[in-house]
Amino acid sequence: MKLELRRIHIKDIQFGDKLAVENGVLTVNKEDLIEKLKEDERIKDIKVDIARPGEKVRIIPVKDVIEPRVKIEGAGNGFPGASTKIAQLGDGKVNVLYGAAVVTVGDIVGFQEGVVDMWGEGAKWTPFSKTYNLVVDITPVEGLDPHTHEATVRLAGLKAAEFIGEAGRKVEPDEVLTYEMESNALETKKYPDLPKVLYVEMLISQGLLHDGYIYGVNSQLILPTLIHPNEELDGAVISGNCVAACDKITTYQHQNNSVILDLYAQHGKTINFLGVILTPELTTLEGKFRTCDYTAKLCKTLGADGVIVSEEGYGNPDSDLVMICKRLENAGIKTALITDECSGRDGMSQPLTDTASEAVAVVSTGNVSHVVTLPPADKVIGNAESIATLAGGWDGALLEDGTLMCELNAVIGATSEIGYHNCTVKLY
Amino acid sequence: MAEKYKVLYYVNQFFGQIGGEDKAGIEPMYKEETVGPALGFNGLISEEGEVIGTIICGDNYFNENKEEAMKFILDIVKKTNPDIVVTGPAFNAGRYGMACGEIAKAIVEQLNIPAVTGMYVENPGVDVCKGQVIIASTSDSAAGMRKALPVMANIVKKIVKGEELGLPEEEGYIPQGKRLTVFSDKRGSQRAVEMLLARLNDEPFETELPMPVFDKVNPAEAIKDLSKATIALVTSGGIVPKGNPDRIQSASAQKWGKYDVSEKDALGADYCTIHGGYDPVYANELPDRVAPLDMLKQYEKDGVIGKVYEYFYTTTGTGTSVGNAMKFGKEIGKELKEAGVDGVILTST
Amino acid sequence: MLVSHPLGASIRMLFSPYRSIIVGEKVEEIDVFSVEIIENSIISYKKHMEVRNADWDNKEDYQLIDNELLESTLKSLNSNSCESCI
Repeated sequence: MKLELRRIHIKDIQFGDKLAVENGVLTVNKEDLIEKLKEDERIKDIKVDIARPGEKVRIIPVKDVIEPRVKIEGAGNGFPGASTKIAQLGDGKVNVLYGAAVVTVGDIVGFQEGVVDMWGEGAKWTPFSKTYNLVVDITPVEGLDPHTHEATVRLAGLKAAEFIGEAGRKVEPDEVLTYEMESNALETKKYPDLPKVLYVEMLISQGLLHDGYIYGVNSQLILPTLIHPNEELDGAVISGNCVAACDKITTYQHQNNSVILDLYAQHGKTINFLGVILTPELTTLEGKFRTCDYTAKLCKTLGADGVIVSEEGYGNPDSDLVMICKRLENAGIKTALITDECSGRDGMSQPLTDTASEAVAVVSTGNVSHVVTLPPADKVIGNAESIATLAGGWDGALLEDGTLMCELNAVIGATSEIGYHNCTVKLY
Repeated sequence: MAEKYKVLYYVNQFFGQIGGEDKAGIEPMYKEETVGPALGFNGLISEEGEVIGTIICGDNYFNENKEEAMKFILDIVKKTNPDIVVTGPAFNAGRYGMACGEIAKAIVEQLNIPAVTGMYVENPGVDVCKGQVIIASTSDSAAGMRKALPVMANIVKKIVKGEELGLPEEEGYIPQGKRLTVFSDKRGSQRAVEMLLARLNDEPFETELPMPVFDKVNPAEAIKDLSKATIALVTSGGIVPKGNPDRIQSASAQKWGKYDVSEKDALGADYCTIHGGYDPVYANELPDRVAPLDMLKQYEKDGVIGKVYEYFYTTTGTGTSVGNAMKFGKEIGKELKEAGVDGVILTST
Repeated sequence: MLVSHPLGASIRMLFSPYRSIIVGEKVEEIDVFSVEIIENSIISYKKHMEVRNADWDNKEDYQLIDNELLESTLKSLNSNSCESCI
C-alpha cells in the first residue's frame, strides 16, 4: 500500500464567505457548514466557533477531535464505513489541513469532561492548544435515546471534518509524506536481517461512550485484528470514546497515530514494521482471556521479534495490558508498553492496578492524578458549567475568580497512552 | 557578612564517642560542640553554615524510651532553633537508623524544620522517614563516612537555600517514592520505539515504570495427616519470657530466642511482650493472643495435631531488616527441619 | 467466580456512584485470578476515592451509563455460546 499525506500548513482560521485555503489561512463559511450538518434531522442546533493558539479561550467538554482532510486520489473520502460509503483505505493521496482541527463539543452526559485551554498552564498539557480549532457545538433534538444522541454527535464531527477538508482539494501542499509498505513477505525479503516489530493498539470497547470503530464496525464485536498502518493513517479507525479525557485516543490521534508514525520512520532502517493489531479491551474476564490469547497468537504467527503495546484508558484495561505483556514475554517476544499511571495526588501510590514482573520496559506518559491549576478564561466555548465537574470532588478546587484546580485526567490528550504527548514521570 | 545558617546534629552513643554496645542505654544529652561526624560535617559547610551543637543518645535507650527521648530532643531543637537538623549517617545499623529516621521525621512533622539523614538503602529506618526526610544513600558500613558526609552537606546546602533538589541519582539520595509528572523532550511513542530497539539490540535501557518485585517462595507440600504431625510455634510478635533474659531488642532485632515450652499448657503469666510496634496491654495480659500456645496445646490434647514441638521461637519483626529476617528464618528453619518438625504456625503482628 | 471486571475503563467512571458487576454461580474452589482482580480493584478504587467524593451531582447520567455498559456486557455474554453456560 502507498499513501501520500500531503500537508497544507494552516496558520489561521477565520469565518468568511467562501470555504477556502489561501496562504495558509483557512476560511470557513459558518452558515454553509451549519446547513450541511443540519441535513441530519436529529440535530436541532449547531454553533460554530474558532479558538486559536494563545487566545485565553477554554473549550469544554470536548467530545472528539478530528483532522480535516480530503482524499484527492484513491478510494474512500471521509470516513468509510462510519460517515461515508465503505471503501478500502490505505492507498492514494490525501490533502491534509495540517494544523487545523475540528473539535466537537456537546455533552451526552453531564459528567463528560475534557478541557482544552488555548493558553497558559493548561495549554502545556494538551496537544490541541497548538492547533487552530474549529469548535462545533452540537445540540440534538429532544427525546433521542442516548445511543442515537452519541451517534449523532459523532457523525456530525466526522461530517464537519470532511466538509472543511474540501477546502484543501486544489491547494499545493507544503510538505508530502509518503507511507509505503508492501506485503510482509516482500518487506522481509528486502530486509531479512531487521527485527520484526508489531504494534498492538488496545481500544476501549465496552459500551456506550466507551466505543471504538474500525471501518464503522464497533470494536466490541471484533476479535483482535491485523490492519495495515496506512489504513489507520487514512481514517479507518475512529473514536466513540467520551470518557477518560486524558488518555482517550481522539479520531485526530488515530489519523496521526504517533506509534505508527514513529515505527514507520524506522521501517527499513532499524526494524521491519509488520503492521498493527487492533485489540479490543473488553469487560468480561472471559473476553479478556480471549483477546489477550488471540493477540499474543497473532504476534507469534506473524513472527514478531518485538511488540509495542499501547493501552487506552485506566482501570480494568490495565489487566489486559499486563496479560498481553506476560504472554508475549513468555513466548520470547520483547515488549515495550506505553501506559499512564495513577500514583495519587502526592505521587506516592502504586502506579498501576495490575503489575507483572515481565513488564520490564514501560514508558509512562504521566500521572493522571497530577493536579494542575488553570487560570480563569476570558471566553468559554461549550458548557461553562462543566468546569465545576472538572474541579469536582473536593472543596476549594474552584475559586471565586474562576481559577480551578483539576487533575490531569480532565485534560484532553494530557497522558496519551499512544505516546502522542511528551509527558513522563520521574521518581524523586 | 551574612549570618551562617544553623545546623543541629544528632548521633548515637558510638559516633558520639561515649562508648559501644555497653553504652547503648545512655540517656540523651546535648553538647554545644561538634562531636564525631558533626565535626567533619561542620568543616564541609563552614563557608555559609555552622553546626551549633550535637545531641547524643544511646540506641537502646531511644528505642525503649521513645517518648522521653523524643521529648528531650524536640525540646533542644525548639530551644536552639536550627535552620536544619542532620542525623546519622546510620549506614546499615538498624536501631541507629530507626532513631535517625524517627527523630528526623518528628522534627519535620511537628516543628516544620527540614531534616537530612544518611543510611544504607536496606536500613529499616529508610521506610520510616523517606517521605518526609531526604536520606543520603550511603554504603553499608562506617567506612563510607568520608563519602557520605559531602553528599549530605551538599543536600543540606540546597535545602537551606531553598533550591530544588535534582533527581535522586544526581544528588545522591534514596528516592522518596514520589512519582512526579514532568515534560520530556521526546514524545512517549518515540521513547517506546527507542526502548524496544534497545531491547532488540541487547542494549541497556531504563524503564520509566519499575514493577514491584515480589519475593516468591514456593510453599511446602501439604501435611497429609495432621493428627500425626509435630507443629512448632514461632512468632515475630516479640513474645519473650518475663525479664527478657536474652535481651531481644524491641525493634530492629539482632537475634531470636528459643524457649522450652514442653511443660507448659500456655505461655500465660510467665511471658510478656517486648515488641515496640503495638500497644502491649492485651499481649501482656495474655501473651497467647499473639503466640497461641494455649490453642496448640489444646489441639494436641484433642488429637487434632500429633504433638506441639518442645521449643518456642521468637523475635521482633518491627524495624527488622530484610537481611536479618532472612537470616533468622534460615537459622530457625534449619533447627526445626533437623528436629523433624512437620509444620510451623508463624504469627506476626 | 468473577465474570466481569469490577473497575470501569477510565478514571471518570471511578467517580460513578454505580458500578454493576456480574458474578457467576458459586464454585467450590477459590479462583485465584478472580481474587487477585478483586483485591487489586479495591486497592485501586480506594487510592482514588479516598481523596475525592463520588460524583452524585450527575448520578442519573451515571445510572444511565452503568445500565448501558451492563447491557452491552450481558449482550456479549449471550452471544458467546460458551459464556452463557456460566
